[in-house]
Amino acid sequence: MTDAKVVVVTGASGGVGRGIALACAQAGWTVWVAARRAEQGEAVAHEVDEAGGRGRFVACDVIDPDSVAAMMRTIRINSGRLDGLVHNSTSGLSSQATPFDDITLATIEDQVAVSVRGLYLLARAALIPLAETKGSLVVTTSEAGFEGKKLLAAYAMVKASQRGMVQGLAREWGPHGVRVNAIAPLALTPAMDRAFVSEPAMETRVRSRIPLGRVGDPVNDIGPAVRHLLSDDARYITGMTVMVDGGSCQIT
Amino acid sequence: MSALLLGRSGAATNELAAALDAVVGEPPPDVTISGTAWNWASEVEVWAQGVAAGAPAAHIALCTWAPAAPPVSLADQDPRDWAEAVEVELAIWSRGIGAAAQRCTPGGSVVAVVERPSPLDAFGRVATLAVAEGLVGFARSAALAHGPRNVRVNVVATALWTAPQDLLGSAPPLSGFPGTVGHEVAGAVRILWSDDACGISGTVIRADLGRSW
Repeated sequence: MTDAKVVVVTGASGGVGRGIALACAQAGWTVWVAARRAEQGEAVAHEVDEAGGRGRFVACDVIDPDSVAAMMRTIRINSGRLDGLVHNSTSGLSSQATPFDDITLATIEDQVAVSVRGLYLLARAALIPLAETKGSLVVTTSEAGFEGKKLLAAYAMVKASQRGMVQGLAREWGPHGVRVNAIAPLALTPAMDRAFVSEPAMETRVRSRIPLGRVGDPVNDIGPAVRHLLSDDARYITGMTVMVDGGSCQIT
Repeated sequence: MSALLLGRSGAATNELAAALDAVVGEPPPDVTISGTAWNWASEVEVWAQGVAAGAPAAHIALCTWAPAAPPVSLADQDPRDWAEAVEVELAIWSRGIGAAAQRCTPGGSVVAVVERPSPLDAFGRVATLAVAEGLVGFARSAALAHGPRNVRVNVVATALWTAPQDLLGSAPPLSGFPGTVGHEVAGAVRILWSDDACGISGTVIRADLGRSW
């Protein structure tokens, strides 16, 4: 396993973010669990400790530049370094289905703020510390950004937008020795679990299109992929979006 | 059949409209940013609703090009500039694509023309890529939503305004990079508008002389 690293994961109080945090913990890394909700964030930080890492919670609202700056200061003061940043936060409206013709700018604004502006703010704040360690930035995007979604069009747009930013940042940050990649996971999150319960036919449809026959587990399927991208084993990978979806996406 | 072009007022829009024999529709508003909240959203919404309510058209193109600007690294791009270059653009053109799809007649075609530099030319263009890929994702969603009406939605990706003077890597295979509005770009739009493209939707044609793929 690679040397112990210091990483921060936004939106890590549950779901995929929690999975990423715990997978990094299994490598013995220090994981800063960044979230708006302290109770859930502290709980995940404790799980990180139990999984073999060193868990710390830091409050952060990714759309607030002061909050992002404060988070980075806290990490710098307490850990002295930053090897990896994972931007995993999404808008609370991400999974809210809206007929395409009914989409409003209010929905679009919230999602752009968290996913696109959030990435902008985090990237600006993280470049210097990541350059010091030749570290890595990973963004959680989605197959929605490739395929489009007629009921989640704003979500598909911002996920695609993030993928474009990853390509551009990889080009700009390469000379600094910093890698930038994305993952597009298909994971059984609490939101998806609720959707499956309310609509069993959806679960059948989703599973039927996955060659590996199952929806990914955030800790055991998604987290390790991110851990790999953050690790030295991925030292020559940058600008990529890795599909971690059991083969479900139909990119040709 | 009728053809409509939506774009900012200016020479590029007029040139593309002339090449496509299209009528130029109401341009999107020039919004003023104040803070991070989208206080200008209502202006965009009024424009989009006006687009959707206009006379139906079988061929619609959206010229999403922003005013040309020099490359700037993300680290040097201040928040207001970012908001203008990315958030306003995503708002205007996502609503514009949605409105155009609603306005398009069954059997018709909507094409979003989007500036999208190749990865090799992406230094200093993170904002451009954020908008370009975001609009591609939104156009694919529009294609899914309006496909049942037999309305096709596609994207033409261009490299006209962000092409660097000195190209990294090999030269594009076709001469004349980055191309012209009236020839290469208009030609790609016409292809997607034509009945020959009746089976094409949700895709991106890169009209950049083979620079990207």
